[in-house]
Parts: sequence; C-alpha cells; structure tokens
Amino acid sequence: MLELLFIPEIILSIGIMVIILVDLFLQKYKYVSYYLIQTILIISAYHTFSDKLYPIYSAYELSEFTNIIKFILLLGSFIIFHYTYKHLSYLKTLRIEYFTISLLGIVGTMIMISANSLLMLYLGIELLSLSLYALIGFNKESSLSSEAAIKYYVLGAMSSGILLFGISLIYGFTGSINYFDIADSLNNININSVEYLGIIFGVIFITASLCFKFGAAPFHMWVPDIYQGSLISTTILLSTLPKIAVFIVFLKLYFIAFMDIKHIWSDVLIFVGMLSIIIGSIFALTQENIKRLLAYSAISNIGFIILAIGLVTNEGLQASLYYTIVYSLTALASFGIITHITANSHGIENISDLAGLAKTHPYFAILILITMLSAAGIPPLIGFHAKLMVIQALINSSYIAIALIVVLMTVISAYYYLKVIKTIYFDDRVELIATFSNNHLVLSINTVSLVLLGLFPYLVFNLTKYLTSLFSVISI
Amino acid sequence: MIDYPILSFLIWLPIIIGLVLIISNDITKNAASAITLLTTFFVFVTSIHLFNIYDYTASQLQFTEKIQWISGLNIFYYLAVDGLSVSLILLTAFINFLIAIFASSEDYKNKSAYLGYFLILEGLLMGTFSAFDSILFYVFFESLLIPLFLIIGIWGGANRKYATIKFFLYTLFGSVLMLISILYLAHISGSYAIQDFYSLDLSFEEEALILLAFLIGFGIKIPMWPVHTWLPDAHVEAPTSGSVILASVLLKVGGYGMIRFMLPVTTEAGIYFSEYMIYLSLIAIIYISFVAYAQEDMKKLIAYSSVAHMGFVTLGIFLVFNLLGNNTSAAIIGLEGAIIQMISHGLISAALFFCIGIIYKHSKSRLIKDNFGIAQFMPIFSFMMIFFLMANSGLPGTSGFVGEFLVITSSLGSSFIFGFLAATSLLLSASYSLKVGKNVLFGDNLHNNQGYIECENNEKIVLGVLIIFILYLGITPGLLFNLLDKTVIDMISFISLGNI
Repeated sequence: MLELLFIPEIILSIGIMVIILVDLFLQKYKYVSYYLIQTILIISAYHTFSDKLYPIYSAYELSEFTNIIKFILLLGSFIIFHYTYKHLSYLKTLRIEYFTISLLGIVGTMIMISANSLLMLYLGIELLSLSLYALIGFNKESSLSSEAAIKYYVLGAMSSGILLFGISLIYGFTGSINYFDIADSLNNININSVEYLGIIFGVIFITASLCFKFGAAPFHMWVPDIYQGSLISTTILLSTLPKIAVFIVFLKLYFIAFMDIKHIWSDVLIFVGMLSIIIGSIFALTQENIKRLLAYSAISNIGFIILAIGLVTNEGLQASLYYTIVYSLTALASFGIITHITANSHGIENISDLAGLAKTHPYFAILILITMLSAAGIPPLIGFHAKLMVIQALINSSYIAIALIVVLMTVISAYYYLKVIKTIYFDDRVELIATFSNNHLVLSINTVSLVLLGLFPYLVFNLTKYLTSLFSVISI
Repeated sequence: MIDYPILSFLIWLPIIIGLVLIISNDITKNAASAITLLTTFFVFVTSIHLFNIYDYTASQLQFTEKIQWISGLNIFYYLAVDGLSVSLILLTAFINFLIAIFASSEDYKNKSAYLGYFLILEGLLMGTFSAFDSILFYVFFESLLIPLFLIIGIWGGANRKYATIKFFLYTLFGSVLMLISILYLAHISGSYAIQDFYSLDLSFEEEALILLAFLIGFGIKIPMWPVHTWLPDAHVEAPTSGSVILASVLLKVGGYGMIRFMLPVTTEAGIYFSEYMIYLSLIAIIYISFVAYAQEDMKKLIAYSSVAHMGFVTLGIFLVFNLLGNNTSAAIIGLEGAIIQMISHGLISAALFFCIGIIYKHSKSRLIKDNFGIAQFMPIFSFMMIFFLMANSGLPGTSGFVGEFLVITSSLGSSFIFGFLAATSLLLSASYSLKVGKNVLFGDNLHNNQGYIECENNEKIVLGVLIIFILYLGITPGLLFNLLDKTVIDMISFISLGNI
C-alpha cells in the first residue's frame, strides 16, 4: 500500500499542508512558497507517468487514461499559477492561501476524473465547488466578487442537491453506485418496469446538475456573472480546470454507466449542445465587458463539446477530446494575456480598455489577434481544426441541419471576436495601457502553440486518438 | 519533371519573409521595401520558371507534392498545378511584384508590417491556387481573410471599421457553407482529395444543395450580383495596394473555386439550373454597369465595373452547364473565355486602381467632380490611364477584348438573347469608362492645379509594364490558349462523359 503514497493526488494533498506551514513562517518571502507550490505541481505531474495502476473496476481508477488527463490538468494548473502569481503580485494582493485553496480544488478535479462510483464523484465535485466558492469571493474589496460568491454558492448548493437526488434515484433502482455495476443492471433491465422510469429520472437529474457545473445552456445563467465578479486569475481557473474534469465525468458516466440507455441522453445532450452554441454566440454580441464576453464564448465552446459527446460515436468522442484540449489551451492564452495587461493601473475590464493596444504594445496585440482568430475558428489556427472535427463528426452521423446551424453560429460568433481585434488594431487609444511583466515567455509559448498546433494538427490528433483508444478499452 | 518542391517554395518563402517583416518593428522603410521587392521578384522569377517547365501537352497534374498532414483523417498536404493554376499563380506573382514596386515610394506608418501582410497574402494565394486537398484549399482560402482584414482595417480610410467587418463576415458566411459541402462530399467519398469528389455518384437533391452552397460561397467571393455589396465598401476603404490585390487576384479565387469545384462536382444540378444562373450573370453585367455609371467616386465606379466584368466570368462558367452535350466546342470557348477574362481583368483592374491611387495622392479626393483636367499636368500618366480605360471597355487589341469576345461568342451558341444581352456590356462599359476619362483627364482646368505633378518613375514602370502585358495578351492570346487548352478540354470532356 505504500506505493499509493506516490499517486499525484496524495502528493498534492501532502504538499498543501506543507505549504500552509511554510507560509506561516515565511510571510515575508512569499516567492519561496510560490516556487514550492510549482515544484509540488511538477513532482505530482511527474508521478502521472508512473506505471503503478490501480484496478479500473473499483471505486477509484488509476489508469493510463486518467493519468494523461491529470497530466494535462497539472500542466494547465502550472500555467495558471504562473499567470496568477504575476497578476496578484502586481495588484499587491498576493496571498499564498489563494494557491492552497486552488490546489484543493485541483485535488477535487483529480478525484472527479478518477471516480468510478457516484459517491466518489460527489466527493470530488464538492471539494472542487467548496474551493471555488472561496476563490470567487477572494477579492474582498469588490462587492461584485462577494455577490458572485454568494450567487455561485447558492446555485452550486442547489445543483449539488439535484445531483444527490439523481444519485439516490440511481442507487435506489439499480442497487449500486459503481459505474460498471450500474451498466450491468441497465443491461438486464425491463423497459416497461418502474425501475426503468426511475433510472431515467435519475439520469436526467444528474445530467442537469452536471450541465450546471459545465456551464451549458439552459443552466448557464451563473457563468457571466461569476466570470465578471471574480478576479481574472480565478476566471482562468474556472474556465479551464473544472471544465476538463466535468468533461471526463461526462464521458465516464455516459459511456460507461449509462451506455445502454443512450437513446435517452444522446438527444438531450445534442439539444443542450445546440442551445449552448446558439445562446453563447448570440448573447455575446452585445457584451462590453471582456470577461462576460469570454464567458459567453465559453458557453458556446462547451456547447461544441457536449454536442460531440451526444453523437455517441467514436469519432464524436475523439472530436470532443480534441475540442476540450484546444478550448483549454485557447482559454488559457486569451485570459492569460489579459492578466498581463493593465489599463490605468487597474486590470482590464471592458473591451474598450484595450483600444489602441496595437500601437503601444504590438507584441501583445499579435498575441490577442492569434487567440481571438483561433477562438473564432479561422484557419490555420488550431481552433479551426477543433471545430472542423466536430462538424465532420456531425456530418458523418447525418446531422446535416445541425451542422449547418452550428457553422452559421460560428459566423455570428466571429463578429464579437472581430470586435475585439477591431478595438485593438483600428481604434484609437483612450486610456493609458501598461503591461506589468517583462517576462512573458510562458504566455508566448502558450499562444504560439495555437499557431504551431494549427500547422501541425496531427500532434493533438494523435494524442486524442490514443486517448480514445485507451478510453474505449475501459468503456467496453 | 523536377524533384524539388517548387510549389511549397512559392507558398512559404513569402509567408516566412512576411512574418519576419511583421515581427521586426524597427526595420527602416527603405529596407522593408527592398526586402519585399527582392522577395516578390524572386517569387515572380520562380513562377515564370514554373510556367516554362510546365508541360502543357500533358493532361495529368504536375509538380505534385503529397505528404500526409493529418494521418487519421486522410487529410493531405497535397499541392499540384494544372493550366488554370499556373495562369493564376503567374498573375498573383506578377501583381504582387508590381505592388512591391509601387509601394516602394509610398509612405505608410509601420510600413514593414504593411508589406509583410502583402507577402503573407501572396503566399496564401499561391497555396489557394495549388492546393488539391479540399481541407488544405479551405485553410488557404479562409486564411486569406486575415491579412486583408488587417490591411484594410489598419491602413484603410475613414469608414474602414464598418467595411472590414462587413467584408469579413460576408466572406466567412459564404465559406462556411462551402465547408459544409466539402465535409459532406468527404463523408461520402471517404477522401478529402478534390479529384475524388469528381467521380462521386450523388443524387439530384444532394447535388442541388451542394451547388447552392458553392454558388453562395464562391459567388460572394467573386462577387455575383445579389451578394456583391461588400466589394465597393471594401474597395473604397482599402489603401491603393489593397484595392489592387483585392480586385486583381482575390476575386479570382471565387472563379477558380467555381471551375475547380462547381463544374465537375455538381454538373447534373448545374445543367438543370444553368438558365437561372445565367440570368444572375446577365443582371450583374447589365444592371451593375448602370450602377457603375451612376457612381461619383472613381474607386466605387471601378469596383462596380469589376463586378460587371466578373459577371462575364460567371457567365462563361455557367454557359458550360448550358451548352454541355449540345455544343461542346462552344462550351470550351466559354470556359476559356472565362479564364482569360479573369487574367485580363486582373491586369486591367490592377492598373486602374493604381491610377486612382496616384490621382488620390495628389488631389486627396477620389470624387470625379473634384478631379478634372489632369491631362494638362500629367500627360504621360493620362495617356496610360486612358489606355487602361479603353482596355476596361474591351477595346480590340487589348486583353479585355479577348475574354469578353470569347464569352459572347459562346453565349451566342446557347441563345441569341444571351449573346445580345452580354454584348450590350461593350457599350455600357465604354460609357462609364469614357465618362471617367472625359471628366477626370480631359476636363477644363485652366486655373486650378491641385498639385498634380507627373507620376514618379516607379509608378511609370508599373503602369508601363501593365500596358505591355495587356497589349501582348490582346494581340497574341495564343500564349494563354496553349497553357489552358489541355486543361479546359480535359475538364469539359470529363464532365460531359460523366453526365451525358
């Protein structure tokens, strides 16, 4: 059992306690704690390469699949912490608690990824949610931040309640909380029985709750407010790590536990995906606040992912994995740039704060140009390939009309990405813009990767193909 | 055959140098101009070399480069050329070289980035004309929007924000419809290679929908009559070189796409709907000519004249559908006429936009009423401009005549009315072209010299070279016929084999 001490989650958990102690004694030297945190992340990421795998069928899974996902997650956390540290140091609100709370949330996401039972899933989601409540309310001076925290807390608690209700229905009618056991009982169920009806109710409740956590329409109301209210560094975290984790939960729940009733949930997911794309694209048109804009953009991106899952084909599965990786990379880059810039000594809030950036900071302007065009799905950037894969999967499953609506929505959404580019390149400067960072190596790598992966898309393609093959071994 | 990747070279050399120019901010204007001039010259020489070693008696694709790009999806980095591609590649390289000469005396803020975007545009255009994998084609086709968007948006006129976003969204809308069709075709054929789409067995409904999507996608790019409104806006706001590249090469991408995709893939539906599409082209030719006559702004006038001239291109292409089976030789003439009209319009419209740019530089106005009597102050320039205006109206002996003549001949093969209506354009285009000449060049202007001085040497070179080429193609069009004959005849016989 000793070897289990070295799984990434345990390393992180022990690390969190060490950091709390270290920070207590080194209040003046916060950078020591910060570097310690990053070291712990690296050690933890290193251990995702371990070949000590834990049995798949039990409640907690340590397989190559989850290890790769966790590696991506930890890499993302590393980049987010890098941005956060710079941002908070500049705003003089750097507190190491911020990182320890984030790390707790990251442990929660890892538990969600590894969970093979509904109870374990619930534990992971709660751990994540609790730390997010604290992070969103972290900016105590801002009333928007407190409002966002309370709003997320109330709605999050309600959605957890719905999740628990769904879990209890599933447990009550199948007698099990393990994904594989649920799949077994669904396999032998009589379609006309009461149990069947109960299970369907349970699945719908769980779907609603997970869609809330994902931020998909029609459960998306909280997303813009919470994105706007929290610190930009929290927004980065919110828009990447939980999305990856919830996505994996979606895959495992639907493709393992509920595979036998796919006719029930696949239409639901396609509907939710379509609605998210439409709402995300249209509502973003009038947004002036850049965080709200990116929030709606996130909703529409989530729509693409859910739509691809809803196809229930191998191709759709791969497309959704591809889209998730690309979306996370793009979100990291686009929010990351905003953490690096400031207008009149406060952070960037409105799109108009960016006016004339191309004249004062041409380098940052090019970075934003790349991320926005990638998000709009313009080739040769990686965002195009992600959208291409989803649309090709739709067409191959004969959803031509849906594909048509989706591409028309991408044209609409191109408008607001272009609006950002227009503000940066064509408008005149209204406010003094400064960057508070000389070293933007990580940001540059992050952004340039959008171009390079767009030119050599097979790199991500092969990774997702491998992940898909690993996952289908589990799900059979 | 050669064993070095000449097409990749043509694509990536300008793109890489362009990126370097954009990133290096502190480079001087002269150095940036010199680098651009050298690069475009080098690309031009290479494309002439390509033209020389291109074997126009062979019917298969040449200089093929095929590497797997996305292995799991069967998407290839697949470049090749046929006669159509070679002629458009030559046009692209030539026009970009002229732009580099012309821009060397112009003064822009952040000029190295300006020239860098043009080089990127050149590379992407080369890629568009030589890609034979549909996704690769789409990637190049769509990427074209980015540099042009920035060129017009950063260096454009007062109303540029509106014009750029309109242009971008219009073309994006068309191209996503095209993307859907491509993906559908790929879904059926299991391959993304364009040539594999040709032999697909599609039902009539499928073909009709795909035809509609292609018609909207490429029709916006060309542009055809009801969806042309982005073009005058974009032209008016674009800087001179931006207008030149837009009119002379970017519009041709639409025509190229129609010939490459629409003709062979959706032949059956095309034959069925050909009459309606011919009506659209005729509306473009006649109605837009009247619209052009009514314009006050010279740039808008030439922009509308471009739409009218591109009407001949679409007319030539749609005539192929109409004539297939009944009169194959007229179909061949129509398609060749369409292609030659593309090349010739590329030269003439470029020349006219250069001329308007020169006038604007002196008088700071593009309105016809603000400019008059230029001939007294700029005699050489006026001589050249009146020549281009004549060529624009299809004067025999200039290249403008050849394409229109061929298309009109071919339409007579279909019906007398079509030929008659198409031929009215010769009258209409002469009237609006000469209106510009009469007022702007020969108006009465004894007292009011608005600072007109004879154009600079590099501008004279640009316009002079264009005169030579327009005359050369007008007097000996055989050069282009040689290049195109095999490609066109093969294509026509291929599509008539499959459908008659």
